[in-house]
Amino acid sequence: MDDLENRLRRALERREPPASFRARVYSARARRAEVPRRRIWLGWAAAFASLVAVGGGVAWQHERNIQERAAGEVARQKLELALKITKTKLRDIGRQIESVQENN
Amino acid sequence: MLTALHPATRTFEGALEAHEAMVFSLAYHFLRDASAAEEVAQDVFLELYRHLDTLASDAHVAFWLRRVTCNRSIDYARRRKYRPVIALHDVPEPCISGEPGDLLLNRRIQEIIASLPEKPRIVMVLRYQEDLMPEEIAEVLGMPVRTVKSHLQRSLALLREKFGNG
Amino acid sequence: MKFGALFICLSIAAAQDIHLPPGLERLADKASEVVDVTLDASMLQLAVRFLPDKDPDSARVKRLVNGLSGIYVRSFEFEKPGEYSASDVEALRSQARTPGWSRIAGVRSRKKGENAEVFIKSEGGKISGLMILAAEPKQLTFVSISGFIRPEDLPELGGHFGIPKMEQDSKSGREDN
Repeated sequence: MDDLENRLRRALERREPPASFRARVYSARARRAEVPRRRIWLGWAAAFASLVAVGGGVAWQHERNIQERAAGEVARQKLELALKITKTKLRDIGRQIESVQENN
Repeated sequence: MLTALHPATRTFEGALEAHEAMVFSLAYHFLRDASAAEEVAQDVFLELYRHLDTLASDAHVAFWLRRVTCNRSIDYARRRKYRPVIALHDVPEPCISGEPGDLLLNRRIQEIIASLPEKPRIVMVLRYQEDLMPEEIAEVLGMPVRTVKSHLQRSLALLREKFGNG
Repeated sequence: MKFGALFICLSIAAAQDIHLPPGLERLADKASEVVDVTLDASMLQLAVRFLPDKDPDSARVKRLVNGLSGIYVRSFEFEKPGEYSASDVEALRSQARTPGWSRIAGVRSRKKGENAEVFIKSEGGKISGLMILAAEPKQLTFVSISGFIRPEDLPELGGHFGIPKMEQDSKSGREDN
């Protein structure tokens, strides 16, 4: 193994996705998986007693709610941060413009 | 064989946690665009969610993720008509400091890799990000081993020429 | 013409195709603090569902977000000046070089080494995007908001940020030297 190959390994080493990535995947899964999941549950419901289907449905819904809530909280925090930064920057710019205009 | 399975990756959540860096990095090093890589990686994991039941082992999951990520990244680049960020002839001759982890040097290498055509580029990423052997790369990409070796040799020769060393 | 008039009767939320320059990621390696927010339309809708119901601010944020198709924020804070280059700033500015974009405000302080610009995207007289680029010696911030912004929602984006005066500024390219 030569020096160039070592350099290549360092340059191409794995990097972590953004912190929000997992939440985005869960959120997208919750949205997109709804239809296939329903089909699966319908199949089960036809094969087993309605009690099993209802119990399973409740558990699945519960799991989905938890995941969606986590993803939603992350999204809300990000939205608030984004709006805060936007507000701050626009206010700073507005103040600077006003200050220049007052000086003139 | 169930006893050989890594229990964490038997669930979607476990697989996501275990492989997100690998999937994101493959797409990132190929596309050199973090937003695009995130988009590709998300699609790959949604696809995994639909196929997880069909994957028998942890190794199978990793293999499947690599294959699908490579294909999706190539598709993404073609669909968006992605071009390498920097053409090879535009890449300045680097000054090698010899310092490990030199950020500038890493960036130069990434730029040169990004300027390669798609097949050699993905081969190089699999070889040096994932440390796969040519035979494994050939399996992931579904191409002959000799083609993989040829891509590797040419790309390395190009890099050596660019870096002016051995 | 009052700048505020530009915001009248906006009705579409045309999605911007934001492709952040790849070089931007390199800045994250040098930065001491990084803010990286990417919210597409579905994430925005998810976020507003988790805003507190009874908070009056939430209602305003929901109304604002309702018309948006994406918010992207990248902010890098560095330990020392000179960690980003003019080409990094130019690469970000080039996002606003596509058709429909215009620079509505810019402030520059040579003394402090600060430079900030605001761009809007308009299509058929309607605003479909807002972009902010703020470069300070030790901080570089890029904000891109795509979608429909109604005039009454502007306070949620930092008040009117001197909008009536901005029109003047956009013509003069005012500088604070």
